[in-house]
Amino acid sequence: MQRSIVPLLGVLLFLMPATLSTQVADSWRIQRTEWGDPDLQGIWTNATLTPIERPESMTGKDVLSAEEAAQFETTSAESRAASDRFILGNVGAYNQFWMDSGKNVTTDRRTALIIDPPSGRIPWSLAGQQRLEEDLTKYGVGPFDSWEDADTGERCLTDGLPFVPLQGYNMNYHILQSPGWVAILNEMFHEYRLIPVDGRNHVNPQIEQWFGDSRGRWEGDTLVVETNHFADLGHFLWRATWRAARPGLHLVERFTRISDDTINYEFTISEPKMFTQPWSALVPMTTDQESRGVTAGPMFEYACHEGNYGLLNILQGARSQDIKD
Amino acid sequence: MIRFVLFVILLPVGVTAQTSTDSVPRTTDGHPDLQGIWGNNSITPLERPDALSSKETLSAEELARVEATANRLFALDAGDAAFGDEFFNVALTEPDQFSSSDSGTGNYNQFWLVEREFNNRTSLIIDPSDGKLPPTTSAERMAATRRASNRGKPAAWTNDRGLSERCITFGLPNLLAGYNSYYQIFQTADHIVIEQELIHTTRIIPLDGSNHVNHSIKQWHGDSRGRWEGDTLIVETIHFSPQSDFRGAHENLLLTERFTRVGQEQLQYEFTVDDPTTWTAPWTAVVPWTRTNDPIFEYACHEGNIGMEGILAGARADESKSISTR
Repeated sequence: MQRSIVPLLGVLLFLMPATLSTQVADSWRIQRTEWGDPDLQGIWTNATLTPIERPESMTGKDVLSAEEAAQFETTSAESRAASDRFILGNVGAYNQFWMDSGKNVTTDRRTALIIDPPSGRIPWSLAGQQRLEEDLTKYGVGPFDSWEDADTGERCLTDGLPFVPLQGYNMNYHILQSPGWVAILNEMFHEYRLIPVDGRNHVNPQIEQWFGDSRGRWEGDTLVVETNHFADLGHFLWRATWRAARPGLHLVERFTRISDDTINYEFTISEPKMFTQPWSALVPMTTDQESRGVTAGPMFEYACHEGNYGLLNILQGARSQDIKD
Repeated sequence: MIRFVLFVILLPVGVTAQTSTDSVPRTTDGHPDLQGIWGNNSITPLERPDALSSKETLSAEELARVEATANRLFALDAGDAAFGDEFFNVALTEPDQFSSSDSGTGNYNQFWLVEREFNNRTSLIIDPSDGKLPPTTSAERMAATRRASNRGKPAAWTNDRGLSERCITFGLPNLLAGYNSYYQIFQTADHIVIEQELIHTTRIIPLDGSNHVNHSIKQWHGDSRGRWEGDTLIVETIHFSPQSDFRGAHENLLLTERFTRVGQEQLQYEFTVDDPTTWTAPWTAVVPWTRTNDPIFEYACHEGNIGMEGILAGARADESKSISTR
C-alpha cells in the first residue's frame, strides 16, 4: 500500500502550482546547524484566520484582495469582541480571555490552507462523508454514556496529527535538532515527537501508535517526515474527523525554512477509505508570534483538565437525564 | 549483558564521576555527548537495608547469593512482579517463596518487568553516608501519618488515587527501576531534552543561562535550568506544583540533577533533593544508567486497563451495600 502511494505523492507534489511551492529569495541564506542541516529550531506558531477548508461562500475564490483581507480581519476582530460576553442561559465555556487565535490571514491571503485539491476542500469518500456527518451529529450533543464518548482532545489524549491551527489557542510548536534527530513539542497536550533523521527503517508495522511511526529525511533544504503505522483508533470521536488515527493513514510533512521567521509547513495526507485522493495543505509557521497577533514567550506545561470539571459534569448531567427519562 | 555486569562490579565505589575525559564521546560544541536511550535497571535499592547497616557494598559471594535467589524467585515471565526496591530487598533475605506485596486481585507478574542489572552497591543514597534518608521534619511526620490513615480508604473520586495511577506523572526524580525506566536524551548547544518513557513525559531544559520563570508559575515538573560544570551537566529545578509529590516533598523542593557520561555504555545520574520543610537535611543519590539500542514507544498508560473504573465502581458498590444494610 505505502509503496503505491509514494510515487503518487511524488507526482502530486510535482504538479503543485508554482506559486505555492517553496521559493526562496536569492539574497536570503538559510541558517544551518553546525553539522550542516537547515536550522529549524525555535518556538513556532501556525495561528491564522485562514481556515483549513475553503468556506462554501468563497467557492471559486482562491485568494482575497488586500482590501477583502483587511475587511475580513476587521470583521473577525469585531465578532470576537461581540462574543466576549456572558449570555444568560448558556453554561458559558471560554471567553476571549482564553483564546489566542490568529488575527490575520496568511500573507498570501489564501481562502483555504488546503492547496490540493484546488477546490480547497477535503476530498471525502462516501464512507468518510458519512462518518463526518455522524461525528458532527454527536459533537457536543452526546449521548454521553462514558468518557469515551467525549472526543480524544476533551479526554486530554490528543487531537492527532498533522499540525494545523484548529483549537484557537496554544498553537505553538518547539522544534529542536541534533545530528540525526528532530524533536518537536506541541504545546497542546504537551505532546512531543522524537523523529529519527538518520536513515533508519520504520519499526515493525505491528507496533501501532497514536502518532504512528515517523521517519525524517532531508530533500534539499526541506525536512520531509513520513509517518505510518497509526493505531486503529477510528472508533473514538476526534475533534476533527479527518485526523482520526487509522491503520491506512499515511502522512507526509514537509518543513522548509523560507526566511528567518517563517517555515512553510506542508502536509499530504492519504487514507483510501476516508478520502478519494491524497490531499495537501500549506500552513506557514512563524517565530514572530506578534505578527500573527498571538502571545510570544516560552511554553509551559499544558494543564489539560486541571481544575476543570466539565467532563465530570457532562457525565453527571447525562446520568441525571437518564433517571428523569 | 554479562560483559557489562562484570564491568560494573569492578567500578570503584566512591561513586563520584571518575572517567578519563578522552574516552567520552563529545558533541561538536565540545561537551560530553549524553545522547541516547538510557535505562535505570539497577537492583540497588534507594535506602540501605537495615541488615547491611554499614556495608556500602556486597562481597562477590554475597552478590552471587542475591543473584541466585533473584533468579530463582523472579524468573522472567513467571512469578509475581518484584517492583523497584522490592527486588533487592526480597532477594537479600533469601526466602523460599515470593508473593507480590499487592497480590489481592492479581495484577502484574514478572512478564511486565525487564531484566535487572546486578551490582554490589547496597543503596543509591550516598549522602547521608549511612545510605538512609535523613529524618523527616515534624510537619512531614504529621503529614505522613495523615496519608497513612487515608491509605486503603475507598476512593470517592479519581483524585483520591495517586498521580501515577491517574496517568499524570511519575514525578521528578523518578526512581522506579526495571519498569519502563528508560530515558532518551537529546542535546543541542543551548537545550537538553529528556524524554521519560513513563507517562510519555518530556522536559525541554534551557542551557542558555536564562533565569527561572516567575515563581508564581508552578508546574508538575517545576522549572528546570541547566548548565555545564566541566563534563557534568547540572540541572536545577524549582517551582514545583503544590500538587506534585516526591516522597512527601511538594512546592518547596529544590532538585539538583547531575548527568555525567562515565563510559560508552554508562551514564551516571546523581541527584540532590533539598526541602527543609520535608527533610532535616538535603540528601543525595547516585543511579547508574545503562545505554540501550532499543527504541522507546508511546507509553499506553491506562489503555485497555479499567482498573480505575473498577476501583471507583467497587467503592460505590460498597457504599450502596452499607446503605441497604443500615
